[in-house]
Amino acid sequence: MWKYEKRLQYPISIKKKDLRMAKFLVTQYGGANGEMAAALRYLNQRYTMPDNRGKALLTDIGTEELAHIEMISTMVYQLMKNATLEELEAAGLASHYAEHNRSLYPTDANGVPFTIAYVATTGDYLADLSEDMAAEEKARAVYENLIDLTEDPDVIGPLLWLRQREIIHFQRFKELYDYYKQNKKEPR
Amino acid sequence: MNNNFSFDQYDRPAMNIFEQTFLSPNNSLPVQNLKEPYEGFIRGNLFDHLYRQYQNYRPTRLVPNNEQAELLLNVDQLSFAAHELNLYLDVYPNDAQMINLFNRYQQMANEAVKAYEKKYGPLTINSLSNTDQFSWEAYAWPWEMEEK
Repeated sequence: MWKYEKRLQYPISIKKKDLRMAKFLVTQYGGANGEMAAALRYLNQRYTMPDNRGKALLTDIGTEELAHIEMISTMVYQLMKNATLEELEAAGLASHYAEHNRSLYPTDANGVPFTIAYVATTGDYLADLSEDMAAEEKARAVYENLIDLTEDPDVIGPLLWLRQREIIHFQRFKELYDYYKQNKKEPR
Repeated sequence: MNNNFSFDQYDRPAMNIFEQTFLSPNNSLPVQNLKEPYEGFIRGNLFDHLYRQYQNYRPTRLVPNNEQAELLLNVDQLSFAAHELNLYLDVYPNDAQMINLFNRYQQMANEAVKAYEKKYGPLTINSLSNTDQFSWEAYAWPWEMEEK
């Protein structure tokens, strides 16, 4: 089971409303390479990892991704806070308003809603871990794209931080992958 | 909390007791690659050899401007350090030096949580017991703390 900690993993304080950036950033909430896909991917794959190392790592990284969902959600919320209807319309968010008013909703930057189809599980732990490594690299690349799209240090700070987490997670998945390659485990 | 933080790119933090404590923690090989908790936390990466800077961007220096922010930063950085070692130990469960360091950071993180909660409310529901007032919802939520 899970317990909630009433704090962000890394502090976020965005003072400047920026609907344009909110529209881009939401992809790390509900996009193919976003944090929700990451959390569900690892937490879903962990059951068929061949040993306790894999089960532990996917549980713990999957759990951290839940905290990243909260960070991204917080950023989108703060970027959109107190937006007027006119501002939403001007930023191309009138359709978001029509469906969701000012609530959060997990989509990618094009407004395509989150789908679990972004996530694979094959039952082959090497294939699954390869997907996880690719997912971390893609998320890192998207964080870099997003950093390129803003000049607000309150936004860039957390994005740089989250980008480093992708690097660490990639490294741990790769180490586990290499370990399994060298110590052949029977699939289960 | 976060009107209580300056997000200063360059200045040294006002509070940094951990640097002294942990600059040379142990002499095992993996530990030599570790940043102390504050430096590791602001980078989002405790492992010096794994850090990869993006373009010219340096990590944001988090400078607490009041006691609540300072106590929360303690929780954040020590929990982060313990979590980083947690992920490492998932893959290398037999690294005794890292287990020692993990124990140390986890214990310090637990103490930091207690110190924060004593003044600024529960961080987990576990911390509430034997209480007359249900203070779980009496304090700001993480996404709106900057409004305080």
